[in-house]
This record gives sequence, structure tokens and C-alpha cells, in this order.
Amino acid sequence: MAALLGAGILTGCGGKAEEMTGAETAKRTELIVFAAASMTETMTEIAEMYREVKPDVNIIYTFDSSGTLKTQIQEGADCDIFISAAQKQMNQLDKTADPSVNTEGLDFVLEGTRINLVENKVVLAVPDGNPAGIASYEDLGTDKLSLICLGNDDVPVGAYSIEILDGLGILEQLESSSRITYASNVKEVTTQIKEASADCGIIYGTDAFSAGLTIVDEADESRCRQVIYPAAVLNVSGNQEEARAFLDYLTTKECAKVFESVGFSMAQQ
Amino acid sequence: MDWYPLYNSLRIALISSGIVFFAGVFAAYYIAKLNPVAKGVLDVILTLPLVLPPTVVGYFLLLFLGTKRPVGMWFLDQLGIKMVMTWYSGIFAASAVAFPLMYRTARGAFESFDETLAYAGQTLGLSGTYIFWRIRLPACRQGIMAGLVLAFARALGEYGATSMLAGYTPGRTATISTTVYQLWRTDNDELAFRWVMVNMAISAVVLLAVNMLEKGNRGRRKG
Amino acid sequence: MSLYVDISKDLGSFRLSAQFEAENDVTGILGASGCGKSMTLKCIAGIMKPDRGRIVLNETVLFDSEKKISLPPQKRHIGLLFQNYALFPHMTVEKNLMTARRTVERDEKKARKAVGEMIERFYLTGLENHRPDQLSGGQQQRTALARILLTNPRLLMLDEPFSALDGYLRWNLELELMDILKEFENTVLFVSHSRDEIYRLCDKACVMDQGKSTPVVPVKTMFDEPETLAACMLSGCKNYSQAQPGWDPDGGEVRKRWVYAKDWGVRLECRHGVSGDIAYIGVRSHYIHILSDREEERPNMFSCRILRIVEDVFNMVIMVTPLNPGSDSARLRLEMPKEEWRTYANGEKGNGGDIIRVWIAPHDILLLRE
Repeated sequence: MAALLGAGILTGCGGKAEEMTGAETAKRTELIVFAAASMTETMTEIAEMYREVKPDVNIIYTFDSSGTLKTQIQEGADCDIFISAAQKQMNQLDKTADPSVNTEGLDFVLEGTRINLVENKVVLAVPDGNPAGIASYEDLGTDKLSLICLGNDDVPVGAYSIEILDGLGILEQLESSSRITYASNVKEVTTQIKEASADCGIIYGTDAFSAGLTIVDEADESRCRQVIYPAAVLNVSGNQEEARAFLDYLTTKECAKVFESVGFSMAQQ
Repeated sequence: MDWYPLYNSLRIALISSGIVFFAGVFAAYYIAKLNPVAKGVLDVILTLPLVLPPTVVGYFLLLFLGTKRPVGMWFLDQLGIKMVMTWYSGIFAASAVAFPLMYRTARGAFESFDETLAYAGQTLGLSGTYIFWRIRLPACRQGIMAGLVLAFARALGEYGATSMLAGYTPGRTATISTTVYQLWRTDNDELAFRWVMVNMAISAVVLLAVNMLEKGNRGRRKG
Repeated sequence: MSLYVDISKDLGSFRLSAQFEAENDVTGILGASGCGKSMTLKCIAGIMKPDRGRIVLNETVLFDSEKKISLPPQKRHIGLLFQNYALFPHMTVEKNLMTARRTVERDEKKARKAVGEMIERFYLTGLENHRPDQLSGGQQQRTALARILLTNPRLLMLDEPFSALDGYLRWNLELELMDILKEFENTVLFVSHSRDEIYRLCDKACVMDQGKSTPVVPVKTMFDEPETLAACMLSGCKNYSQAQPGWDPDGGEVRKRWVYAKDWGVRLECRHGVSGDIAYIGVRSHYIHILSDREEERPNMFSCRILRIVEDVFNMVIMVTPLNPGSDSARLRLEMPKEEWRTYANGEKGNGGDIIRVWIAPHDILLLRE
């Protein structure tokens, strides 16, 4: 799998699809997919599934941070499908988006193909056995909580955590009673929860899944902005039909299973 | 400016310097006597905290002291003491990271110690304890002081392991270093810089004090 | 009051096996550096542990490997003066002395009084507040000795006490030390590689070579009648030959007082009968005399060729080789006052290549065992 990934990255950065393999592949269609790094596992698994659905289509991935991918597309990299970890980077490439977001007036998104693919829920996770007995976001305002671990402001999930606590009206109370400990990255938050150093923590569903943490509550729209992964076919694609077909495949039940297995939720269309 | 991080950093640095002083000196003394193989192995193990990323050191400590880990659980169950996420968790973190500095400099000093001084002490009838504290240590004073200063400075500036073990809870576990880092990450550069100056001022004062003590000693020797 | 030592210890390159006794006087151990003499002192002091053996001081067993006795250095009451004196560098002279005195005297006032007296006795007045690195070599040695004597040792051991000093200072210190040793009532062990120091300072001595000690004999005997090759070499003798006792190369009558010097190819007559275990003979440079052509033949006379003549400060050194040597490398070293050489060489032979006659008096031949 690592070899596949490596090859994908190498060719993704400007390599021509034809160069890949010999005569047999000449008949096959190459689809170049740029996807957010957090999707590496799931998308790789889906590519293998897709080989059985459409053996003549070869999926080639480039995984990186959404901002980097957006820049590469803007600079003319070959790309058929873009999956971003936030609306922001997709908007920056979408001419139908607000000019205040798409400041450069870029037009790469193929009309009518943009969808909300998956959602990464902001969840309340607790250690094994949930020693403090915290069951919901509401419990954070009670005496059950002695210490909660949050990501720092600049860790994306940190900003959402603050939004949630603020919405509950308990942020200042928790801060003044020194019941919040701030970690500088997500790994640190998950470790503190796993080791029960803190009673609970707020992180992404995918992080909770990969760290094997128990999720006791999910934040819905009313608590904080949703973390949506949008996807779209790009208008620079030379295989727009095949690209649409793959995008459709991503929204099927088979793929939903894969996404949900790592903590993503399917987005509401 | 909330001065809690200064107070917390100082007490952590002072207490862990004390712990590291005794632990480092004894480890150096006893390990210097071992056979080369055991010496080599222990040397590597005891120097590890110096070369590992502090965050990793913090993680290993967490595997011992965490509330679900044997040591941490015992303290919590038997004594009701939580070893992590408290102000004194910073002491464990700072001690672990500063220990190799004290150990290594002390060992260097002990190795250059003229062993005949200890022999002379023995034949004169002085006890082992007296020889250790009143002859060996004073004779190696310079190296040991250097180690202690390094260890103190390191303990004062400790970030990674402290962040893992004590976290950053303003008003409870915040130290100068974790405060600086959090302030800087949240774009509060000006306040972060002020704390950096505080940190530097303390280190400078300590170094100056040590230098002056050393000079005073030498002055008396000449006079 | 006496010291009994019989120890052995594996030192890697050789085996230390020291066996000697010392009475209430100054006993020397003469040996080249690295022969094991310092190690012997350390074993007696208890700093090092012998592999096996027994050390007894004034009826107190300090060490006995069979009975598993090994007193710690603190309980042996032995003073050891180290080569570098081992003064505590961070303490003043007075503090060095007080530290030692307090191990035998609990009362601080009494201790201070004793230290004060010792400072006066050892000419350290005015230096009380100096640190060791501010003292001269001699002052350091006096401080170190004073420090040892303040602990009332039952045995005093001196390890190359003059090796850290240069010539002139050395002589003065030696005179001082002589007085101090005279006043000290207990046993003294004096270790040195200098036969002169041993000769001047000790009553008795033994020789240590490659970790092995010879029996203790009076110093005079050791130098005038050394018994082994090693002892003879250490006593400063320069001329040696392998020897065959009671043997005549011409197959003539065997005489008890004859010895054949194999290397030199000559038969010599000794003062006493030569016992069968004699393996070497030695003759000191001063005791090989030149016989002028005018003089008559004598016993123990043989001819040599002059190899070279070296002028020393007060002496002439003449290197010669016997005419019929038993070994090609046979060399003899003659030494005589310049005046004597001039008398001989004046008008006679006295250049390289010349043949001269030499002779040795029977009582100057040293008979040596292996």
C-alpha cells in the first residue's frame, strides 16, 4: 500500500498518466484525485474497491493538506477530482462562491459537480470506563468535571471546542476555575484523554476513532459550525465522465461504510 | 500580567534542581565505580532523556505516572495523589529532562578527582560519608556547580515533557515556558516576549550569582 | 612493636608477593618504579586488598585472607605519606590538620592545641591560613607529615617522599625528615627507588623486584654484600658476569674459592669459598684497578682493550672489554678519580684501542644468587 501511495504522490506532482505502465494500461483511464491528508486510509481502501467495479479505471492519489493541494491545482497540476478538508479551499476554486472568499476569481470547479462528501463531527471523548461519568456536553458545566483537555486555539478542533463551550455559557467559568488544560496538537489531546489525565476532551470523530476513545456526545449544527469535506470534479479534467462516475461512487453505501469505519459521518446533501 | 507562571516555574525549577542534584551526584558516584560494560549501558540509559524529544520523554513518564498506569494508579489509590495534570507534575517532567545534565557533568568531575585524596582521608581515619561530602564534593565543586546551573536552567525552560505531564492549565499548571508557547501560538507575541525576558532575567541572575560565588571562593584562596 | 607482612596479589603483568618483617626502626623498600612497592604500602594501609596472605601490626591482625579478616583503613591506624602528599586542596593548612586531629580527639579545644603545637614543631607558623597550592613543595610535605602524625599512627609509611622535589630542596628535606623519623617511636616503612636515600635514611632494607621482595637485612650488609643480582644492581653496581663456582676452564684442580666469570672469560679467586648456588658475580666500578706495566703480576689480573674514555664531573670512566671474553658484549666499567687516571696515563698507554692490565681484589668480588 505504501508503494501505491508513493507512486501516486510521485506521478500526482505533474507526472503524465501515460508514463505509468506498459501497453495494457493504454486502454485504461487514469483518474487523478487530490484529497486531504486525513482521508489517506479511507480513499486508498476505496480505490481498491473501485478496481472491482470499474477495472479499466486507475485511481491515482495525491494526499496533502488542503491548502497545498489548492495551490497545486491553481498552478496547473493535472487533477480530475479535488476533495478538501474544509469549504474554504473549495470555495477559493469555485467561481460561484462569494468573491470575498474566492479572492483571486479562480474557476476550476465543474459546475453542478460539487457535493458535501463527509462530515467530521466534533465529539466529546472520554477515557475507558469514563471515570468522571460525563455523558454529554451539558455535563461539562457540572461538578462531574474536574479537568477537560482542549486543543489550542490554532488547532482547528480547538477553535470549535471554544465555540461549543462558549455556546453553553460555561467557558469563563471553566477557565477561571482552572479546569481547562490546553494541548498544542491533537495527538496530545488524545493522549491525555487515553491516559485519563483529563476527564474528557473535545476532538474530531476521526481522531477519537483512531485513538480508540469512547465518544459520549457529538456536536450538531446547533453547537458549532460543521466540519464538511466538499468534493468536486474540476473543469480542467480530461476525463470528466469517469470523474463524475467516481464521485457518485463515493456517495454509495459501500463507501459510506468505509468512511464511517474511521469516524466520518456522511454529509447531508 | 498574571504572575502565576513565574511562581510556578520557580518552585518547579528549584525543587527539581534539588532532586536532580542528589540523584545526579549519587548516580555519577556509583556508576563511575562500575565495570566498563555496566557503565556503558547505564550511561546510555541515563543520557536518553537528553537526546530524546522532550515530548517523548513526557509520554514515557505518562506511561508510568498516568492515572491508569501502575505507579500513577498506586499513588492515586493509596495516597490519593494524582501524579499528572497538577503543578507538581512539572517537577517530574523537569527532573527527568534536567537529570542527564547534572549526571554527566558530575561524572566528568568525579572522574578527574584525584583518588589519593580519598585514600589519604581513609588512612587518616575519616569516614566514607565525611570523605564524600567534605572532600570529594568540594574538590569537584566546579564541575558539580556547572551541572547544577545547567540543570536549573534546563528545568526552568522545560516545555515538552511538562506539557505532556502537567498540561497547560492557566493558574494551575502553567509555567513560563508553556505560557510563552501558548501565547505565541495564539498570536500574542508581545506578552510572549515579555515572559521570554523574565525567563532570561532569571537565568542571567542565577549564572551571575554562581560566577560571583566562584570568584569569591577563588579570591579567598589567594588572600 | 613490629610489622609482619606476607601477602600476594595478582597485578596483571606480574604477581606481587611481598614477605618481610619490620621492627621499631626505619625499614626501607628499594625498588625500581612499577615494581610493586607502592601497591605493597596500599595493601598494608588497607586501601587495596591483597588476594591472600596476612598482615599483622603489633599483634593486631589487620588482614588475614584465611580468617577473612580485613580491617578498614580507618581502623588500622597507619599513616601513609603519598607521593603527591594528598593534602585536601580546598582546606587551609590548619583545616587539613584539624580534620585529621578530630578523628582521634573529640574535644575541639584540645584538638586545636595539638594542631597549634604541631604547626610550631613543623615550622608552619604563619602558613595556617594558606591553601596547599600556595605552599612550596617542602611546606606541603611538612604539612602532610604533620597531618599524619596528628592521628598518632602505629606505623608510618613514606612512599617516595622526595620524588616531587628537585635536587637542592630534596637534600634539606631529607635532613629534616631524618630528625622527624628519629623522634617517631613506632615502625617506619620507607619506599624509594633511590639507593642513596635508602642508605642514608634506613636502618634495614629489602629489595623489591618484579613484585618479589628479598629478606630484610641491615642497610650496610645490603650494600656491601648484596646477595642477589637484583639487589646488587639496585645498590649501584655496574659490572656483572655469569658465574660458574669452583670451576677451572683448564681442567685443573678445583678450588673452593675459585669462580669462573663466563662473560669475561677469566677465572677469579674469592675471599671465601663459593657455594654452588652462586650464578653471578658483580664488581663495583671503583674496585677494578689498573695495573701499570712497571708493577708485577697479581692474582685476579687480566688484560683488556680500552673501548672509550669518558670524562665525568669528578671521575674518569673507562670502558674496556676483556681480551678473551666469553660473550661478545662483555664490557667492564672502570671509574677512578681524575688525578689517579692522569698519573697512570701520563707517559703510558691511555688511548682507545690500547691494551691494559686490570685486577680485582678477592674481597671486592660480590657473589650473587639469581
